[in-house]
Amino acid sequence: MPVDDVYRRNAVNQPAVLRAAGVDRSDTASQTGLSLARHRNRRLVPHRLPPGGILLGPVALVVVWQIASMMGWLSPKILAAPSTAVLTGFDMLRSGVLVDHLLASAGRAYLGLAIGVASGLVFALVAGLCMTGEAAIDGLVQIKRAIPTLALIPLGILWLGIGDAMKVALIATSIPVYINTHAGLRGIDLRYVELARSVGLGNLEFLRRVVLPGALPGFLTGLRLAVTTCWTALVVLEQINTTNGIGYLMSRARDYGQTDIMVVGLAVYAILGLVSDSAVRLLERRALSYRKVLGS
Amino acid sequence: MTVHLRRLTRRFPGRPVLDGISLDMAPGEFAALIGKSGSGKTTLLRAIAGLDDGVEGEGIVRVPDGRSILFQDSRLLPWLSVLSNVTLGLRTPDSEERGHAALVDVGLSGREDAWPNELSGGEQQRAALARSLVRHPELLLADEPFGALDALTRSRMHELMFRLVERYRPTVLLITHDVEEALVPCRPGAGHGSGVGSFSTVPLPCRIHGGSLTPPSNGSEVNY
Repeated sequence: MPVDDVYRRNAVNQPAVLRAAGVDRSDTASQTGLSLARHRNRRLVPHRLPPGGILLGPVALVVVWQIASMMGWLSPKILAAPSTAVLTGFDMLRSGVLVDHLLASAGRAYLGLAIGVASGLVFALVAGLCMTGEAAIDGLVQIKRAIPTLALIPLGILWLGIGDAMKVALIATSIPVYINTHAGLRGIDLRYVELARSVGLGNLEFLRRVVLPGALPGFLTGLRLAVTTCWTALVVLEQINTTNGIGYLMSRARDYGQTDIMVVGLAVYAILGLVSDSAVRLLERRALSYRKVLGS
Repeated sequence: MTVHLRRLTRRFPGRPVLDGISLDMAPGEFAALIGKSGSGKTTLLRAIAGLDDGVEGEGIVRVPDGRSILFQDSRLLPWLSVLSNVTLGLRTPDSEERGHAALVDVGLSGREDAWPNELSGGEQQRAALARSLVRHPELLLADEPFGALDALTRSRMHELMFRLVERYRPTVLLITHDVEEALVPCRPGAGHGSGVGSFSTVPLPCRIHGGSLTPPSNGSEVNY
């Protein structure tokens, strides 16, 4: 008789009271053995996501939103339908307006990103490898971290004017590369440092062979955050003395109540965010291919 | 003398670990130091290796600059290929060729470009052995190098190590808590009497007081 069959019979034969109380009278020994076996086969970690699987959530949201617009639950004055926004976006692309604004914004965002990443990396290395450096830098960075970037706009305008220099500088200060890189560097196993000493590595070689690769996972996490952070400050910054940029486009759309253009602006941010995040993740997978980890 | 220690003391806060240790080792000598966990074996090895700054203590330590350490964990850098790990810090123009040769010696040829993570425990320790020997050290300090391996792998590693020690001829201080491991070089066929300076298996000559390595009660120098 198949084992499953036995269990079913036992379960059926049980008095209702026992069954309700979750008590099982069937042979405890074999029952335990079976549930143990089942337990062993259970995966503790999720399967790897198929390519494009990350898009499921966003696509579902757009579908629900489109249905809500078509059913009239969502007024175009509150939020334009995705289909309307797609058409508007397509028109803007064809006329070249969108590309011009996008390039203007990208120039500011990525210049700020480059400056922020480079200085964050250098600061993290200096603070992580040298006591004076840590005393000088770490506290200041933590204080800066507690101050919202947008709160620095008034001072930024006083010091650097209302031009692009101020915008790029404020974006650069919002880049969160320092803290992750510093943490990664501080997390390098001391045993590796000991090994470096025992094989007589010099300072530069120690930096190249141990410190940089050891801090790389932290740095890449910081970079993933940074590629999206560099765009966030733009919306507000591009309301100041500009006639181009996605932020300018959106604040003008607000003045005219053009919700479709607002949605196009949001979509641009979203697509840029997803694309740049995927790019960094690809880089991460290449650079950290030596690891055997959950996400690999 | 390759190793010359006199009245070496090392103290951890409130607890003496090494107290007046003296040790001489001739070039090419193989010595095994046996002691139970916590008896100060590793503290002694780290003092000899010069890796114990920050630890309180005095004494004379004269050891050659050309020394390698074989750690208990293979301690390969996970982000470097096996070959780069072996040649780490090697500054000779032929370091690549030497690395290849050392990997052939330990039976890992063809695995040059593998990540350490892709090797088994025994292979990792063989790569570490290659890293130690590729720089032709005058002194090889081995800190329970095979303690984490299974018995079969360990006995193969013993054979390999003693064969290579015979070839490269370093002075070897092997630290172990395994009496059999310490006796391996004395077995026939393990290199005994075949040209290596001498084998001296040194069971801990000191009594253990509360887990500390201290000299015998006569208080005089201990010559291993």
